[in-house]
Amino acid sequence: MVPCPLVGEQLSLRLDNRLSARERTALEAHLAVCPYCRRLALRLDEIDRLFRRAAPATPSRDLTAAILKAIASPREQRMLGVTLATAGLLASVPSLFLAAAILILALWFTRPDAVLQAILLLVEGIGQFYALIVAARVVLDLCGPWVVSGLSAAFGIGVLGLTVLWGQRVMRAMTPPMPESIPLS
Amino acid sequence: MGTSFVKEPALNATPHLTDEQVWIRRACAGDHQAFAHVVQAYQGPVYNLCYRVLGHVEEAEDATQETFLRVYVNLHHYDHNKRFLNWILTIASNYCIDRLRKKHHNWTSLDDAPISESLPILNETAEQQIERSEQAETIQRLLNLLPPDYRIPLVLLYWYDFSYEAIAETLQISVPAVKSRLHRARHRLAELLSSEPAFASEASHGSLSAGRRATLAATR
Repeated sequence: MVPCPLVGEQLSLRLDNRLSARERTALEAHLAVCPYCRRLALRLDEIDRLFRRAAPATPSRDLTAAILKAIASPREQRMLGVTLATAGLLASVPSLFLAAAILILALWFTRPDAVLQAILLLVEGIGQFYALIVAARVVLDLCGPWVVSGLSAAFGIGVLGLTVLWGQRVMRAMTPPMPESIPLS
Repeated sequence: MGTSFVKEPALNATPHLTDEQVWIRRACAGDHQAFAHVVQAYQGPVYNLCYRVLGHVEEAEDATQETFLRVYVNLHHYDHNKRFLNWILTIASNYCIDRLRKKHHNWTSLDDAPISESLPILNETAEQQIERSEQAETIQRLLNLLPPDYRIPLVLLYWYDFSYEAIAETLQISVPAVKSRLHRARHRLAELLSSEPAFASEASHGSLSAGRRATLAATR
């Protein structure tokens, strides 16, 4: 006779037709004499019938739109970040001019000589800026456009990175509502 | 098994094999339209697994979404020689197990077990519908009382018609481990049925309680 602890797993295998003919015969012989295992087998049969009849659970709405939206959102966040960075840089240009104008006016009334010196410095600065452009042209000619682009990008990345992070935080703060439910076709 | 995803035409989870492979390959190549199609085709099976394991509608929907995010990110890891359903259910199972572990709610009590979200079949009588929903409720309550590691093999066996080998591959465990978990899960369910007379009557006959019958009779 098969010992009872082993019968347990065999009863489960029996439900899935995983027993050999010999094992099955031995098990049936045991069930005929062991009321405990017989009762257990009946219970397992009930469970098996119950689960085999069970219908699959279906979502109450089509989740496709929500899933695709969730996948797309990191891309949208990046786009928003880039837009904000560009807008920020553009917006900073007039502010810089305004600040410079105020400074110059203030200085004109207090220290006109300093303003003159500043204008001279500016002219020199423009000259240096021109020198920078010339240097860039030289690098461009010597090393190719990728190096110049790389140098420019390195400068831009810092500013952009910060603005992208800020943009993501803004996006997270205003989580978009889930789309309306779409009936299953 | 008439109710599994594999054979049920009404909930046809897996499209025709060649079509399926074409869609999946296109999705892997970065085609968004194809990925949308894959989501549409597989959301049913993924949702059912999540619902059976997590036991809550909202959590199951959330887990389905998270599973597809992981699928999207890991598409390039998918081995085209393997069945896509198995791969996607591996991701879903791992996610559900992680989620349950993180939340520390291993299994809910009998009282707050939710009712099943199975859609009623239209040409059933009211009595059959109630009977079906009562059975669905019983099944989900029973599942919720099992440890998560035991739930998934049962779900894969009964709802997806998976062989022991397919369950082992999906859960990345051995075939003897699958046998052992199924045996223990069933044994635990048998104990629950014996200890809870309410379960036993619902499970054995699938019959309506006297109260429900009276309500039905009154509404006719």
